[in-house]
Parts: sequence; structure tokens; C-alpha cells
Amino acid sequence: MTSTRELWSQDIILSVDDLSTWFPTPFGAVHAVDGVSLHLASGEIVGIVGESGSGKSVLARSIMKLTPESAITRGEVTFAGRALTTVSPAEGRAIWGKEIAMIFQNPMTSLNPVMKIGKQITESLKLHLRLNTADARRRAIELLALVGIPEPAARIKAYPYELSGGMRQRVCIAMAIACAPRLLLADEPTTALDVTIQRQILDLLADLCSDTHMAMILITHDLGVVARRTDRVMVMYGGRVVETAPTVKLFVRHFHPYTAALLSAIPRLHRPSHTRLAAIPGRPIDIIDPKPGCRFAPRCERAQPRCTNEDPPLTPASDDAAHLFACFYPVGTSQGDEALRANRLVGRNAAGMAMPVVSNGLAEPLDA
Amino acid sequence: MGRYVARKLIHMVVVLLLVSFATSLMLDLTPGDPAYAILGDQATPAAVKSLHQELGLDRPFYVRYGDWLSNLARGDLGTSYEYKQSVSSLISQALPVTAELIVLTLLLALAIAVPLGVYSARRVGGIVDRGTTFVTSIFVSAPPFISVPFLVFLFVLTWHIFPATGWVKFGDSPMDNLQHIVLPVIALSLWPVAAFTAALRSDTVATLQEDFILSARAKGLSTRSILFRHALRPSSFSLMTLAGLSLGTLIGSAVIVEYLFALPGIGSLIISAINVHDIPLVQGVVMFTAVVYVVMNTAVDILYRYLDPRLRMQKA
Ligand SMILES: Nc1ncnc2c1ncn2[C@@H]1O[C@H](COP(=O)(O)OP(=O)(O)O)[C@@H](O)[C@H]1O
Ligand code: SF4
Ligand SMILES: [Mg+2]
Repeated sequence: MTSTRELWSQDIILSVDDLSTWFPTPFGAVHAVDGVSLHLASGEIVGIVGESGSGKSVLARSIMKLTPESAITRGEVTFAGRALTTVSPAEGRAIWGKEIAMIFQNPMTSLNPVMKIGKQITESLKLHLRLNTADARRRAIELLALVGIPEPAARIKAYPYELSGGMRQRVCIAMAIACAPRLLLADEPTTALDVTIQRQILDLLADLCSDTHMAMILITHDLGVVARRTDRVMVMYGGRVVETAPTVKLFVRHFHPYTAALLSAIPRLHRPSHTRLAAIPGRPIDIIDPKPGCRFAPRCERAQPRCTNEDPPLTPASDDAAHLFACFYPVGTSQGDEALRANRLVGRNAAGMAMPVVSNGLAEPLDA
Repeated sequence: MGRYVARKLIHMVVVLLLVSFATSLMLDLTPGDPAYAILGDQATPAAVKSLHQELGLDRPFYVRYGDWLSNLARGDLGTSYEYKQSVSSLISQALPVTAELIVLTLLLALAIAVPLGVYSARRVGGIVDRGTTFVTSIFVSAPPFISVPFLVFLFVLTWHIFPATGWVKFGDSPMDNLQHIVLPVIALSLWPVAAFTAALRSDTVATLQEDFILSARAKGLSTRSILFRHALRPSSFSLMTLAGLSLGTLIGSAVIVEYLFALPGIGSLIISAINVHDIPLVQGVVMFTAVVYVVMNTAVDILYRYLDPRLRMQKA
């Protein structure tokens, strides 16, 4: 992994600027992604973390232009100098699969069940690299070997149902890296797999990045997954980025109460990973026709009146320009501690969430 | 697989026995006497009686049915009263006409329904989808006895493109043969075009929601290869079932179409046989049709295993 300092000087391969995606529904517009910006240097690995429903998949799919036709997307996505938001379908097809590839959450359903896996790999090789059948076949076998599939020459004739979940995800990875893309979007690539397989797959992805200088966006609901494998982490909630920092820094210090909750929810060996947070009450709701205000306020122990009617802007920490967060009463600051103490004394936050009353307001903070 | 085939075979035999028994019984119960059809209305009671003896019609129903079965087991379908030829040779003369009609109908229907169904599914409620639904809804509501006069009026009487009736063997003159079969094929394919399109459309709509379609799009494949290489095959189960089962319906409609266009096929054969109470011929044609039908059903079943490799693993 390259250090972040080095990366700043390198060329930015992907720029996402103020990207918003919403879905018109009969009940109002669902703002799934709300003004997200993201910059990725080549070879860099960024983790996007957030509970299920926080807009991670919609963000990745908006970058890939894979959202349903009903979705409305605003903002700019630039890849290697090309504005992806305005590419024609034909230009786009030369980028998807060749320069930007994607791996999906569920390996059981993301392979075509009635097509041999070899064919599913060779089809992009033939399309993008113009390989002939024999060369494509040879390359597919190499790729399967590279992702750790035993007996690759025999396996290319297998159908997906003949492989286990872990093996299928390896096939998906082989499919994604077939044309040596410069950017890989991995949307919860291991969520559907068991813990030991998870680690193998994540290590494989990290190795591929460092070997080929491929940039990667690794999406997960589990901060533990990104800990040792990413250069930078972006925490999302309610379609917005609530905190982003170089990974090593985030694990040392964090400002947003939601990040704190995610950190305390990192699964240990004896505690399996869950897609919903146990540490904080409530669950993310669909963000329908949102009014200004912090999206996290209904679940935040610190929420004050200001939080419910004003959007907290994403701003850098006073002492670290690379560490940004969007919170009026951050963890580890005096005004943050004061807000938490005040809410504990009355037993509710400004958004009406009930919480245990603590007479002096100084209980062990849940989120520190 | 061996046990599967054996079970299928027993099943087929039972179905065929039931069909043949029901046909024979119905023929026995229908009023009318083949002797008059053969000898004419003025036949004397003595002549009728001796003909009955000659044909074995004086014996009870179950004896005649048993006889017919044992002959069938030896591959003998009997001799037509009307044509004085073996039933099997009559069938083999008529079969190529009907087979050509039905095979061409199925091919035409699939050639039209596959792109229509797939492209309708691509945008539900879009212009292709709504246009297709509109046109095919006209097709389903036009059975041959309505569509044939309409087609004849347009293509024969108004535009003089095709001949109205008659038949030329393919071997004698391929061009003339095709000229004579075009209108019957069009008339016969209206219903399957509509039914196949609807079946394929709804399955494809479901398939296009699948994750693997998203993976295919993420690979940068063109819409066409996504639709036809990735979505079509997993979406064609209903279509295959329907195409296989529609054979029965098609043979039924072919009877009317052949009759209206005076094509010398199985349909015309059975209509003339029924008209003159030609019992062996009716029995033979019905039996033959039932065999074709049952064999096709089994073929569809086997085709499934090709379409969905997962089924090959399952114990049948
Ligand atoms: N096609 C859609 N139509 C309406 N709402 C959608 C659609 N896809 C996603 N959403 C909504 O967008 C929000 C974010 O979803 P998603 O990006 O899948 O979350 P995540 O990947 O972080 O679990 C959710 O509230 C979800 O209900
Ligand atoms: S303190 Fe206010 S701004 Fe900060 S997370 Fe809680 S509700 Fe949001
Ligand atoms: Mg998701």
C-alpha cells in the first residue's frame, strides 16, 4: 500500500464531485446519495463504510451508470480526464469492464446461471481486448489460477452452480480484473461469505491492487474490513459523507458520533458481523424529501436544536486538512461533550430520542 | 436417467391407450353408419348387413377395440373404408404437408416472437412494449376462420400476391410450394406469435431484474448481447413449454387452415374421414396425432435440461 502523502502528489484517476442520486417514488423522492465528493489516485484503496441503506451501493452504481432509468443523478464524475456523466453509451461501453470494473455483493446471483464460467470471463476479453477464442481461453485459465481457483483448466467448463460461494466470488473477481482495469468498485464483496473466506477474498483484492497498481473502492458495512486494507476511509450515513480520513488516522481519532458507533460495532471473532448497528438504537430510514438537518440526529445522543434544522457541512479538522467530518458537536471536543452531558441530564436529545437519564451527565460515553 | 426414461415411457403408453379408447368409443356412439357412406343412401338392408359382416361391424364394441389394438401392436392401422388404402400410407402422404405447415409456423412465430418479446421486456411500458401488446392482442382475437378470409381478401383478391388454394409438392416445384404455404403459415402463426411474445416478455422482464444482468452491464456489453446472450436463454422456459405444448393447439388449428386453403394434409384427411365415418382412418389419424403430441411433451422436458444445466444434476 502506498502512503497517503505519496498519493496526493499522484494523478487523480477518479473524481466524484457533489454527486446526488434520487429516486422519485409515489411517496416522494428518495435521496439515496446526497452531495458526495470523492477523489481517488491510481493505486489507492478507499473504503466506504456505512450501515445498509446508507447509499453505498447507489453511489457505486451511479459512478458505473448502473442505476435504474427512473433514478435522477446530478453532479460530476470524471475518470482519467473523461466526464463519465456525459459519455455516450458507446464510449461508456469502452470504459465499463475495461477500465472500471465492479464486483457485486452476492456471488450466488451475480453470475449467469446458464453460462459456463469460462465464457463469462472470455466474453469481456474478446470484447475489450479483441482476443481470439484460444487466447481468451488461455487468459481465462490464467485469471482463474490468479484468483486461487484449483484446476482452472477444468473449471472454465463449470457452471456457477457447481462452485461454492467463495469460489464464485473468486470467479467474479477474475471476471472483473480480466482486462486489467485501472479502477475496481467492490460493493460488499464478502458480506455474503463466511468469515475465513472473507479474509481470503479481501487479501486477494488488496494483493491485486498492490501488484497491478489498480485503484479500488471497497464498500462494506464493517469498519473492521477496511482497517488494514485501505488507504482512506469514507463513512457514509443517509446518503452523505459524514467523516473521511486516512485509515490509520481514523482508527486513532474520530469526530463523528456515527463513526464512533461503527467502531464499537466492529465484529470480533465471537461476534458475527451484522448489517445493522447494535450499539445505537434505531435504524436508517429512507430519506424521503429530506429537510435540512443532520441525517443522524434522530439516533444521535448529542443532537441539539441546531442539528435538526441545519446541515452540518463536511469540514476539515482544525489540525488536519486530510481529516474531514460533518458534525456540530464532535466526539472529543468540549462543545461535543457538553451537548452529550446536557442531553443525558434530561434523558432525550433534540430530535426527541429517549436516552437513559444520568444525574450528573457524566456516564461512560457510549461513543468515545 | 434410465428410470426416468422408463417412467416416461409407461406414462406415454397409458395416455395413448386412453386416447385410443376414447376415440373408438366416441366413434361407436356417434350416430351414422359407415355402410351407408360406402354403399350410398339407397343401399338395401341386405347389402348393409353383409358389409357390416365384412368389416366386422356386427361384433360388439370391445371386441372390435381389442382387435384394433392387437393390429396396432403389429404396426397395422387397418384399411380406410373410403380410400381402400392402408391408413398408414394415407397418413404418410398427408404428413409432409402438415409437417411443413407446422414447422414453418413455429419457425416464423419464434422468429417474430423472440425479438418482440425481448425488446418489449427491455422497457416495460415503452413504445415497443405497448405497440407489441396492441398488435398481438389483435392476433389472439383472430382465430383462423376470421383471419383466413381477411388474409385471402388482402393477399389473393386485392394484391394478387399468393394463390388462394391448392398444393404443389416441394419436390415438384419449391417456389410454387412456398407460394401455396405462405398464407396458411401466416394464418396459423398469429396466435403463437402473440402467445410466445407474451410468455417471453414476462420471463425476460423478471430476468432483467437479476443481479447477473447488472454484472453483464458492468462488463460493458452492448444492450444487444445483454438481451440475447445473457437474458434470452434463462428467460425461455415458458416459451419452450408453450412452443412444445402449442403443437397440440396448432394441429387443431391446422385442421381448419388446411381445410380452408384445401391443403392435402392430416387436417383435411381427418375431416373427410369423419364426414364418411371412415372409422379406421379416424382412429389412425387421432392415434398418430396423439403420439406426436406425447413425444413432443417429452422432448420439451429433455430440452429443459439443456436450457438449465442445474436441472441435469437433479434426480428426475
Ligand atoms: N431503485 C430504487 N428505488 C428507490 N429507492 C432505492 C432504490 N435503490 C436504492 N434505494 C434506496 O436508496 C437508499 C440507499 O440504498 P443502498 O445504496 O442500496 O444502500 P447500501 O448499499 O448502503 O446498503 C436506501 O434507502 C434504498 O431504499
Ligand atoms: S451532534 Fe448533531 S451534527 Fe453531530 S452527528 Fe449528532 S446530530 Fe449530527
Ligand atoms: Mg449495498
